[in-house]
Amino acid sequence: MSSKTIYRFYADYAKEEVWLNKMANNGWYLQQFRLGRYVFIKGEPGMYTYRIELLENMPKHPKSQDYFAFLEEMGIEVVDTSFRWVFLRKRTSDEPFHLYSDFDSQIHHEHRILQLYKVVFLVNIIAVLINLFNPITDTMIWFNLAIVTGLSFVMQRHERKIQTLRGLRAIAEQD
Amino acid sequence: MARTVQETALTEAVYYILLSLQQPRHGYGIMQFVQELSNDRVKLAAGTLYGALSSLVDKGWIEAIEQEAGRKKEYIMTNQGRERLQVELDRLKELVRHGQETMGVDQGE
Repeated sequence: MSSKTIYRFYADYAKEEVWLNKMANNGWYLQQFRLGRYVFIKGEPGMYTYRIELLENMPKHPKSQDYFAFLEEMGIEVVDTSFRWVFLRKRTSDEPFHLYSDFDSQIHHEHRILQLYKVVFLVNIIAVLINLFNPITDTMIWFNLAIVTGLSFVMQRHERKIQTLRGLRAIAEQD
Repeated sequence: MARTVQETALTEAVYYILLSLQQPRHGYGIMQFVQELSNDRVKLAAGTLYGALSSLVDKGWIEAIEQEAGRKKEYIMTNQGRERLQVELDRLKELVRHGQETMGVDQGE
């Protein structure tokens, strides 16, 4: 079985999801993920649709385990997990695969992701401040500043996405 | 206690889930029932369905049925849920009546 490994970094999970599905359409199926390292396995093109979700708890938590069992009943496979993120896939021969079917649950999920971005953002701001007063770790400051800058763009885009969803929710329950 | 059920509108997902749980069903069964009942219009996605089931269990409107290990988890509506569903049904009837009255649509047929 042929496989390939690609190193990439995505701050925006939606773009990552688009990429994974593009890979799947070309017959490359994500098998494993470790911090920017994606391992794909070759198969017939277009067999699976991938989705990425941020869980409320860590994957080992009983609530997450219960959710995984539920997903399995629905024909959804857990491909891999990383921190609170989970990579899911479902056969394309079934109905189109979406995790959320109304605006409320979609907003809830997007909000959870925004909260995570905010925490990472804050941690990096603190790191920058610490580095300012501690010249020994001088070089790290650029790394933290890069993350802060990048994240502020992603957070803005995310904020807009949630606003749009809320606007739609104000007049309808689902599209 | 029973009078404390709020009179806010239910989401469509919650409404259909309650309808389906007049008898015990597992997740996939609920999804199928709702899809058939609504002629393919309402398709509950897994994440939305799971989230709704969890919050309905927390509210006490439905409950999970004790199951042997390895069996699919089944749910059923509680009396509190049934009461809440009845309130919603009355609310929906009122909405339809108001619509018919103001839009001049014939009653009944």
